[in-house]
Amino acid sequence: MTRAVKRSVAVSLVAAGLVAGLTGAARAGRLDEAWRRGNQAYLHGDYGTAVAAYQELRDQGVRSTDLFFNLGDAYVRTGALGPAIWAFEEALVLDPGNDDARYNLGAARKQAARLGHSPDAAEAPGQDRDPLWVRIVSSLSASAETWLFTVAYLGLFGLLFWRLWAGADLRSGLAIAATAFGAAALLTGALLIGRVQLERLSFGVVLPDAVEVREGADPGARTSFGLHAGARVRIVDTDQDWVRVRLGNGLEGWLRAGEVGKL
Amino acid sequence: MRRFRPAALAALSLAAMVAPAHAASFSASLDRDAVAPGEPFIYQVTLTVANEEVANFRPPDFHGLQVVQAPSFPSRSTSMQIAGGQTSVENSFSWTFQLAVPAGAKGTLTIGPAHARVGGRDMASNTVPVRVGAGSGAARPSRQPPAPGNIFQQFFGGGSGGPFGGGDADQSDALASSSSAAFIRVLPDKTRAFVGEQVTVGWYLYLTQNQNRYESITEPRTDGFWSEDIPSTNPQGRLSFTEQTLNGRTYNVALLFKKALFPLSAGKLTITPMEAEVSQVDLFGSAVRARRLKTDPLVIEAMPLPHAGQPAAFDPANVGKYQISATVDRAAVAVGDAVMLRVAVKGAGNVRNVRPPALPALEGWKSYEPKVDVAVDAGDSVTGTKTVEWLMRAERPGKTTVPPLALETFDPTAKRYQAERTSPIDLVVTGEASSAPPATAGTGNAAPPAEAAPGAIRPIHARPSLSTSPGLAFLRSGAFTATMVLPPLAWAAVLLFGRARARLSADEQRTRRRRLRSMARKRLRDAEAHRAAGRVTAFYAEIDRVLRDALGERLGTPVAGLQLGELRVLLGERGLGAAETAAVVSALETCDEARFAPGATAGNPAALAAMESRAADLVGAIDRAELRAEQHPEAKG
Repeated sequence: MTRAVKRSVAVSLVAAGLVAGLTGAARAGRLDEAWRRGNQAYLHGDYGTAVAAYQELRDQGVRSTDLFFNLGDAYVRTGALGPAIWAFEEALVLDPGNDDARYNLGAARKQAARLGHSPDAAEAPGQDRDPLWVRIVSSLSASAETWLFTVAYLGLFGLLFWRLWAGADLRSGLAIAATAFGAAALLTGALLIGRVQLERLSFGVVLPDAVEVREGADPGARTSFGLHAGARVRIVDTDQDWVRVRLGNGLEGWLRAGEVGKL
Repeated sequence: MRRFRPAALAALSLAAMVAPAHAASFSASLDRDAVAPGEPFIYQVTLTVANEEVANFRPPDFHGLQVVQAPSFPSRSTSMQIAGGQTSVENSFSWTFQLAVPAGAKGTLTIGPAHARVGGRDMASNTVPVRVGAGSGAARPSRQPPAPGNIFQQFFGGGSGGPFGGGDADQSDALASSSSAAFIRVLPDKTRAFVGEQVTVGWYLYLTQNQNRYESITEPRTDGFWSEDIPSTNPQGRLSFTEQTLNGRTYNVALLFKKALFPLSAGKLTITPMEAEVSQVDLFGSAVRARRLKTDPLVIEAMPLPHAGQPAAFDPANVGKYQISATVDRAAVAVGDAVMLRVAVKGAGNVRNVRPPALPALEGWKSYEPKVDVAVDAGDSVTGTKTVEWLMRAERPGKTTVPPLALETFDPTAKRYQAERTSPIDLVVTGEASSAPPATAGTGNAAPPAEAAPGAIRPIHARPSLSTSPGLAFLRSGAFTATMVLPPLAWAAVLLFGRARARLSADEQRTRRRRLRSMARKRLRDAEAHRAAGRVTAFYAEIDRVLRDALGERLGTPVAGLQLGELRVLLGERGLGAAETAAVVSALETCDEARFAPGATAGNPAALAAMESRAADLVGAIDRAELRAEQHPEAKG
């Protein structure tokens, strides 16, 4: 490789890095601008504008607990309780330990109940209750599970490497430590695998105040039962712009895709 | 006193009917047991007759009582019943006076009898004693024997437990335009109140006959009052009747509506009459036998709030019995985050109109337009909670104390001013001063409250920049995959490398041995040649070299320059047996002696042959020996 070729390759790499960096910075700037715009609109009582700004961030692929929390607040203020419940649920998916999101989710659900969105006969008690493994997986945030697993996994291999070159006096202690890290890696790895499975399962929240769940993916199909804003459902199938949902009590039916906010 | 016009009394004459229904009755009553000086009260006298002519009504002698309001005409109602082939007619006339006891009066005053001429004969009502004392503040319930069953419930929707707490109460002392068959009564719980104090007024429909339809024509106007409708407990769209006895007659009574009225200014405030129509419906759905009912106006005297003891910061809207509290949804936040300060004023009074204290400016905080929510509890007495929520955004780190907020009120029951205060609240802000642009349209503390805030939720996280979830981003990135794949790959590579290295080492050992044997054979042949030629020194030099080279090959390190003592130590370290070590060192000593101090025995051919054989055996022993690998100097340390 000649010196000229080497130089041009180096210049190209630097230029590509600069372009990538500038593009990233510009995107971050746009996101922060939309974030501040949404917050200012909210704080001044312009909740519709706040919702639009937060939705813009979401459309950009931003997944942040704060974003979904604020979006939920803005929806509550506009009276859209179904979308508010969905947004708070999203915030809790990202951070199950977020006390604010949990509090506001409870408040939104209570408000929905006060406004007559109380469960009817079809919405049997416990329909929102997830299986045990889902609750275990959801007990930690995806972020926390990722970091815990990464630390345990890298720790395990670090200890193994260390033991390889360690003296005889350190080897047994390192083996015990490596075993502990291995167990932790297995546990957190199982949680992480469960998280991936959970994301494949696809849960959702009913967005309108009231919807009719039909027996088929057709507006003319017979109504099976009714659901109200904030009802948590599992999405088990899709057919064009319809989704088949299942409740915790086993009831199934079809809803329009736009009537369910996916989690 | 106003005189009644003869023409009005003449109009009371009725045509003769088929049969009399009841004997005439003429009774008078008060709306309370005791009256305080200056307090208005109601005196009502009711005359019930059959078909007799009524004329020449003369009000009683009030014996110095002040007449606040006197009727121009009596309230009148007529009812007709057909039973057992006979038709009976009943007419009821009622006069209502609003009176007051003059200041300084004591003891018991007596209102004399009212008089009227009924069917050519004079009738007189009963006298009524007025006990002057502490005002009752409310019309007293009266007690009457139980009345017959209610036949109207099937049409208007039955129910028990009406506005008077049962079916046998008598409200003969109420304020109303009443007649015997159907009328509407207006019942205030008091006729004198402070500005801002609640006066509860109920409008009740009294019926003696089955009616199918009730229609309101004119609603009463309550100008000068802040009016609050008290929710009805009636079934939706239906009136709930209970039985009551009034002036010896049984009525079916239904509450039409009830209002809580709060005088807005001092003086005499009038509630205008209401008009309604009751009727029956024939088979074709048409209204028949309609009766138009009208109440008398009701005057409430609103007293000004006392000046004595009135705090400077008192707001006249704050009349009632209230408590105030202040809470925050969190006491510690980061810069940029918001705190919701919630001030709740709870109690009895005109809770919608009560004015909570303003939020003072707080250093390092920006407050936004407050949201106000009012929740009024159900019940005759207006109670509830007014909640004001201030959203405050932290702009600087540090500690701030929200000072106590004071609410000055006037309690009309205790007739004194009171002050309620919240507890101070400490707020802690962490982080660095906000770099976000300041709000440009904030309305600050002085902005008027906006109504209809939604349910209490924790405020948004208004941090200067959007925080994302790095863990989640890492999970979905290639870096996570690399992190997962690289350690086991490195581990496998290390293991494979070690194994390959061991294999290579084994190959090297074999090579060395092969080379050793080849070298040893050649050197021993050379030594044999020296021996045959009689070159003794060269022979021993060759034997010395073959032994040292053999050791060097096996040990992997040259040993030519080592002293014999050093060589002995090295061989011991590397695991050569003690006997073999001693034999090697002895052979090398023999070689050294023969080379550097030759004697007679060293050149002996037999000794040379023995040394050659001994060297061949030692080389074989060195070749077969299990030697340890050479230790790294650091490992040794």
